Amino acid sequence: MEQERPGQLGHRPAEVVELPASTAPPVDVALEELEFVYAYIFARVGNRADAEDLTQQVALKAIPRLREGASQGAIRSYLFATARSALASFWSARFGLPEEELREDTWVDSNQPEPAGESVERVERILSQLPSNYRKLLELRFLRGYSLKEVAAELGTTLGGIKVMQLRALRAAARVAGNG
Amino acid sequence: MGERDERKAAERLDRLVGDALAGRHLKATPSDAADREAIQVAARLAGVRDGYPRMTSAFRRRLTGLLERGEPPRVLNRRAALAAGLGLAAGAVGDAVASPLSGQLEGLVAARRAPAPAPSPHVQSTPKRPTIEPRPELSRWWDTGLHVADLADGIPHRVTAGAIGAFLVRRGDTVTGMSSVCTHYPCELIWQEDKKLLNCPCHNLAFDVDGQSTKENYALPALPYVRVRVSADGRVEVLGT
Repeated sequence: MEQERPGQLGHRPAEVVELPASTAPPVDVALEELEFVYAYIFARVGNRADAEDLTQQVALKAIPRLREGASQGAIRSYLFATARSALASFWSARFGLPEEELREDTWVDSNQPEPAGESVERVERILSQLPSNYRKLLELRFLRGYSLKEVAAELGTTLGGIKVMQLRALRAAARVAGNG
Repeated sequence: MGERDERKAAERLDRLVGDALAGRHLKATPSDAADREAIQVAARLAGVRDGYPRMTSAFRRRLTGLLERGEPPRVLNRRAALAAGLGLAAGAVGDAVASPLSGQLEGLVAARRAPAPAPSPHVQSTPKRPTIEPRPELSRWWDTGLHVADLADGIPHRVTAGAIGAFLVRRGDTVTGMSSVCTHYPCELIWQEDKKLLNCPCHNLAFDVDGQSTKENYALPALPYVRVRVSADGRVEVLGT
């Protein structure tokens, strides 16, 4: 995994890397790149069903480029630009807001795949800035797979109380992400 | 925001979170716009729960077809989908569908901690159930990076062996491997700790820890076994491609 210095997290300039021409069949090249696209999308929508739908949309749009015999670097840039656009449409359709309002400015996006684990580090950084009860709730619920009932038992509160606390914790996490 | 409104928003957000964690589509609507940042951060949190995500073998196969044909896949009817699900689950990768399973493979395929370096799979006579057998020329044993002690008793642990996805379940000294693909639709199953079930996010069907369908009236085929072996020092390996 690529090593990052703390000061560079989330602020790394996009690198333009022209990859050598691949001798692999175009479909294999596309699949290799789409694996990165899938990870990129999954990290933003959080569920497999939507991640697969969006990745498929991206793949469909890439087919003409593949037929043109574009280089792997060009295909990658195109796929990630398309993925960002698909994500903007995804959130826009759900919230009924213009896409410009939903660009995820707080999360640095580039035309390159994220190093494995970068999304995890980013989330950990947000969690680390939350009050301990919020952090614990979100860790148990999202990272350790506890049901809400189990989280309530662990934190010694009621189910209704834990739902409200989850709402407040996620709002607090969104504020931290927005300030990051 | 009043207390009542906050409780309502909390209920709504929890439903969205529950869907995301179960691998289902995010059903946010314009009425959720006020909490969009919280929903997006919830999606981010849900997106890292499995570490670095990879496409499932079933989805990869679908994309391959899409790229080769250059057109969107047709909508499957129930019969075709069931056939596809069965085919993928039984075959995973390799041509288990085309190659009849030999009699010696029926039954439980599990591995115990081996006294000898190369243990053979432990085979029982019942129940009758297929085992994924990749083509010999393509197959290889994959080190899962897990030690027997890493597997909690009775809790499925998902691993991949090349293009084959499997759940490993340890019962005492015995580790059993089974396909991680639903036998209904070719969707990857998700372990639900609270219900102790392997749930299919595509149609909300479930399998128990032994890979048996929990649906009583229309039981799905059990999850095919995947070959597992445990080395003398306790490392768990899965036969994949």
